[in-house]
Amino acid sequence: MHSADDLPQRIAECSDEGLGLACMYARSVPGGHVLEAVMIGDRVERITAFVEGTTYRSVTPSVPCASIYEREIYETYSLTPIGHRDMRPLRSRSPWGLSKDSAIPHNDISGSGIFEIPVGPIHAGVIGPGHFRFSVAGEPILMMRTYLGYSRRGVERLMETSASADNTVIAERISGDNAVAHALAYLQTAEQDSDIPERARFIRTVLSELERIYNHLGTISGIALDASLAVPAAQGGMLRENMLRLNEKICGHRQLWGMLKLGGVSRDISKAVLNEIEHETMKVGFDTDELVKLMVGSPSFMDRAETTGRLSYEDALRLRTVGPVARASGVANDVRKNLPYAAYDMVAMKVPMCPTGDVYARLSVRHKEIKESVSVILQCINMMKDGPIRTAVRPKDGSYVGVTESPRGETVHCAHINDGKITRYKIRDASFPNWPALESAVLGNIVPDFPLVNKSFDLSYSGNDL
Amino acid sequence: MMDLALSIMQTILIIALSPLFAGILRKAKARMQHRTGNSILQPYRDIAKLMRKSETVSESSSWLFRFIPYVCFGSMVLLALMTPFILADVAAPYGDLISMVYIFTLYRFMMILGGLEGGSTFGGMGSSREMMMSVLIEPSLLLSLMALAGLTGGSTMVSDIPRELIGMGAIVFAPALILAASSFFITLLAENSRVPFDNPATHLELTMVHEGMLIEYSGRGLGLMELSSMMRLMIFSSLLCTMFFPWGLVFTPSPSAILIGLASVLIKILLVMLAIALIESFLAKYRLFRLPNLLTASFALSLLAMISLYIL
Repeated sequence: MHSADDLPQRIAECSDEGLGLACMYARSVPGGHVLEAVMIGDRVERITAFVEGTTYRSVTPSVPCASIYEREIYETYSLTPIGHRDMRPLRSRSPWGLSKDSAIPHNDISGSGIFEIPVGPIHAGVIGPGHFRFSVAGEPILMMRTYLGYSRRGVERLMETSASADNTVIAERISGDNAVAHALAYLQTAEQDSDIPERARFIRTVLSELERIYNHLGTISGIALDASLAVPAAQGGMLRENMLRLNEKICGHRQLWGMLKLGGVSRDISKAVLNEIEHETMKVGFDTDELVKLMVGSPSFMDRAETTGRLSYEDALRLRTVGPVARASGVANDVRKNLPYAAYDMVAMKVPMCPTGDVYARLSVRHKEIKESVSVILQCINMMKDGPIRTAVRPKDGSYVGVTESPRGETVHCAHINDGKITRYKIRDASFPNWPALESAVLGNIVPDFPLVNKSFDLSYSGNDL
Repeated sequence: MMDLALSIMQTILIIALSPLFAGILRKAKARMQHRTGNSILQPYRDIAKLMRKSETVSESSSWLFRFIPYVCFGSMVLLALMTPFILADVAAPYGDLISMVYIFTLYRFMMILGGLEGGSTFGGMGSSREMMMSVLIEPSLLLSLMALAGLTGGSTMVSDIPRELIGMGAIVFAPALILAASSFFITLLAENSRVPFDNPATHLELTMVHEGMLIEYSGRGLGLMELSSMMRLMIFSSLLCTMFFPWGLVFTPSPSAILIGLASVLIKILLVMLAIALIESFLAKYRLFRLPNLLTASFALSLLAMISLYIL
């Protein structure tokens, strides 16, 4: 095994080939720790390095997006990266982070007339817990730092100690509204190269796109609500509710839980319900067009949405943001296209992009993605043939990586299986690399616009905190 | 003596009806968004509930914090005494429009102090934003009233203006009146923290202006502040309805005249509420730094009203 000294160089070399650092984590081995870096692009590459003591050379100076992973490793395994200059607590309120009574550090900025605004973790609305520190000069934001970890549950550990052979149930609860994407990523690590029946693969694709549609509708409606555009907000809420009801008809759960299973899906979708899915999704496609037209047609809304919360192409690339956030900044990155899973290799789809990186760009990328999802669902239903929906699968030993595209972006699961038991399980939700991008997107915006920018990023607290 | 009794009754009516109109406004907004919405009596229940609850007061605040809700409520009662609603003769006829503007300012100033007193971040942010807006609201509010006074012969007494306007007959649909009324309507939205200036229904603490200043209040203090802000909306709408469009206002009380007066003012205020509900449903909240433009527009309208008095 390689030593950790040339880890930065090997990651940088891999980056030159067009792969990005998607995840980095540590695991204990006799005599020390192993650092695992997962590089993802048009293929998946794993880089491992052995760390003997408690320090290693930091990767962050050459690959900036490694910063959050090194901070995470420091908090969980006490391995110190030498040369990393920003070691603020990452999950400050988790059992692995700062102790509950130690203070959250002040922002590293000073000058006359600069004030610090602490916000959260308890907010006025019903949203996840997160602490934000704004440094402002008047209203414009000069610096913003996020401190999360309040909803940490220890899901990785739960996966490692689970007695069951099928942990889909746990995977669905990592981030409740991205249940299908997380479960599919888990299933990739568990099913490995087994042949899943074609009908199950189509059903999985349909479920994952239904999940995308209801999530994106929620975000679009939320953006309208945060700009105080009441009528489109209510309209979007209505469309989302219709989709949730459709989900309930398909599998008895409004957020599609319990449908996936090791080796396939837990139940078939009848012809009648398939027809209904076809009908409802086509309708929602047109209704979303109307909804977005209503929003874009309002000059007062466009004034709020355009140029607000701009994430530059360079920052999106440097921080390796994923999902609609990255695509709205012009970074073409979609797992469904690059590393097709389920039945994505059998359907035709476009990857919607937008170069401007503002709130409006993120809104319109989501709008176009809903249209693409509708087309993917219709293709799947057309190609679907009768057949088995499940097969027997026995997980083999080894190290596996599962990658899926959740509504929030690339979701990575890494499993190390030994004697049929999971010895180390690593989850990287799409929100994890996107939170630092939020810190950079709000710069120069005014404080009252932050909620709008935050909503357009649509980040998960539970997925980040794990 | 009879007149005084009637005037005091109209003051009580203003106070009693203000939660009802707040409820109607919320209901109208809900219906426009395809929601069922709360009952229009909900504001009464909310206030009754708040009045019964005990108060929690921030440790860092002084006596002023608890004192402010009473000052705010008191200043609104004073304004209600000065506002013509059904009758042109008001209980406190020694006030004129200019003193009314400054009683509104006293109310706002006290509320800003209340926001700062609590020592919370959001109170401070709300107060500083309110201060910025109040600097811009005041000139356009005063100028629109000046244009009105100019149109009706120079007096700013609340009881003189309607009489003069009605006496002028149909010529009053002069550009000056329409322009001044439009300008007044914009300041009404700004003063009462409505969309596009502020969102009274928001759950986002970072965007709050009016709600931010109230964030540390609870129990009776909050109840009084909420009631005062409902009264402020009511008084502002009454001023728009009786000063700019006084038709139906009663000058010589008789039972039938009072009934007609009541019906006309209720319909007029209802129209104002529907207009606000329409604006709140179809307009996004403006960017904070865009608001001065809107208030400048309001100022320009008043200025045009003023100029048109001399040109036309």
